[in-house]
Amino acid sequence: MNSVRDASRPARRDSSRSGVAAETLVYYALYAVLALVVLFPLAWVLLGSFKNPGEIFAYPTTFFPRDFTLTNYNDVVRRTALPTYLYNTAIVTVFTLVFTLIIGTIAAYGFSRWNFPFKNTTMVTLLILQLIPSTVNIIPYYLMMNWMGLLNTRIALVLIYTATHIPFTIWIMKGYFDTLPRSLDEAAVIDGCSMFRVFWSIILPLSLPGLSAAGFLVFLGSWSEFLVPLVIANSREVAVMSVGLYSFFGMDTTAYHYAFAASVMSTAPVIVAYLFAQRYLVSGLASGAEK
Amino acid sequence: MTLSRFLNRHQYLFFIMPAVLIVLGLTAYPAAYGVWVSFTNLHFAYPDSRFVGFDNYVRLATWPALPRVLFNTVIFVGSVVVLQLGLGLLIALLLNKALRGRQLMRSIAILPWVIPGIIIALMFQQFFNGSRLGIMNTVIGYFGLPSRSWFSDPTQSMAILIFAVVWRGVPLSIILQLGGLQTIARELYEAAAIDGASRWQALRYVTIPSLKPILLINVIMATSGTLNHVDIPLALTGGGPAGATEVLALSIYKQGFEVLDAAYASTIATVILLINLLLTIVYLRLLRMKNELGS
Repeated sequence: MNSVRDASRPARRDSSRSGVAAETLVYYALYAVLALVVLFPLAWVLLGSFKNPGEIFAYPTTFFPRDFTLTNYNDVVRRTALPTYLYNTAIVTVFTLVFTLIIGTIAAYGFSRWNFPFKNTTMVTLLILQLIPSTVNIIPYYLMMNWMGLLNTRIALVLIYTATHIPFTIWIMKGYFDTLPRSLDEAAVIDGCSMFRVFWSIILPLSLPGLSAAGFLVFLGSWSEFLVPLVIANSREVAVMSVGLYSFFGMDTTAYHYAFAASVMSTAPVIVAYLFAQRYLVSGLASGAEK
Repeated sequence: MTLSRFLNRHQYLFFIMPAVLIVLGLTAYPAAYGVWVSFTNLHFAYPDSRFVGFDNYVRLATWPALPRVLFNTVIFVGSVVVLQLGLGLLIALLLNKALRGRQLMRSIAILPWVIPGIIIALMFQQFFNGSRLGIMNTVIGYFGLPSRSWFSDPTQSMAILIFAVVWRGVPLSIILQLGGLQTIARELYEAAAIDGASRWQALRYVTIPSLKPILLINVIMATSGTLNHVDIPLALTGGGPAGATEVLALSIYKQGFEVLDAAYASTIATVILLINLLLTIVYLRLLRMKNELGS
């Protein structure tokens, strides 16, 4: 993608220097507007989490905290169930991540390396199933989990998340596997490796960028999912972050000093993951979405 | 053993079967099951249910709230798609310029996409909150405007809901369209420049046509994503005030888990499923078109 990244730079260089400078100025002004719209709400929440409760409830509302305090974090950790919610979210996310990546990449390797009847039909069917949203399946999910005795368990969430995240994992990973020459596999097989061995020790290590992109998307999806856990697992002991925050703050929130700190703590893991994964994202996502 | 010989000849089955089975079992099967439920009178408060044919569909068609919900859905989905596409394209064009700091700016522009929906709902609720605490009332105070109770007005509620969903959704458009912009050959712009095309003409006759397949894919993805979106409407406005922001997807949740009418909720879900299938067919056509164009 880098080879053509400057495609839009004007090919002509005959415009006057001041014209170019004025234009650059306009672009940077737009940068500032964009950054403001994105960062202002986020910064307000982040800074709000460090204000002492008295300042949060004062009028007029401030943007920068008068004095930094960690009281809110202390209170949220000690007096609310947020630690339990975050723990549940982490458990569900980690298991979903492991199962989805294992099952998804193995299948992607199968689709990449073998030709068999109905292969394309199967791939397209997976793509179509990916587009059936959890919203549509929410009543059946409830009935099925009730029938299997899995209501209010974290297992139910892991099962559903794994199923809904496998299709795009297959598409992204197959894309990467297709770029690795088959001669690599063949050489290893001649040396006596089994196909599973080839996949595990040769192909997978070479696919780390794809794995990072797919892994981040799975992480993001399982960490943030709201409707499914709200319906399937809403008891206090198994509630994940989204369900916990929704039931805690309800429709009108009055516990602002908790809300800010809880929001920051619940979002920090995704932001950190994003910072690590972002260099693979734009290319990985675009290629995954376009296939 | 014939079975082991079969599996030996079809090794790929070991690789693909686990994925195929779990995906079929937990997406295709529930979808079919949901369609079946829509033809019964299943209610979460009663143990028994029986087949009732198209009764629920008749009930849905004559539902007094249906015109309002459909109107809300069209306004919501329509505005979000138009804004996401338009803003996405403008920002993608901006971020495609070779400027210092572009990489950082891309990271910032894509940031809202990773924030969990529930957090976005909480954040915007606090931002606009009706009491004096929301910072939006302080901001409009600087301009001499009186504080207002943002979420008690139907139009304002819908506008804030749309704003929140767009705020979160624009990054997906940026990602798709930046990907698209980078595949446009530089020679096309050089040729246009030699022909004396203005900036605007280059955009109109080179950029937009080249991006068309991606733009169409973006339309489909945004439409289906917004149509099925429940998180932010449920947590930000909950359909209120007085049903002014209740959209079709939210009705599934409300009918199913507040009214407990599982069959009715499944009927609404089946309608949305059909719309989704239609969008998917268009999506697949577009993908084929795009691949044939070879971009």
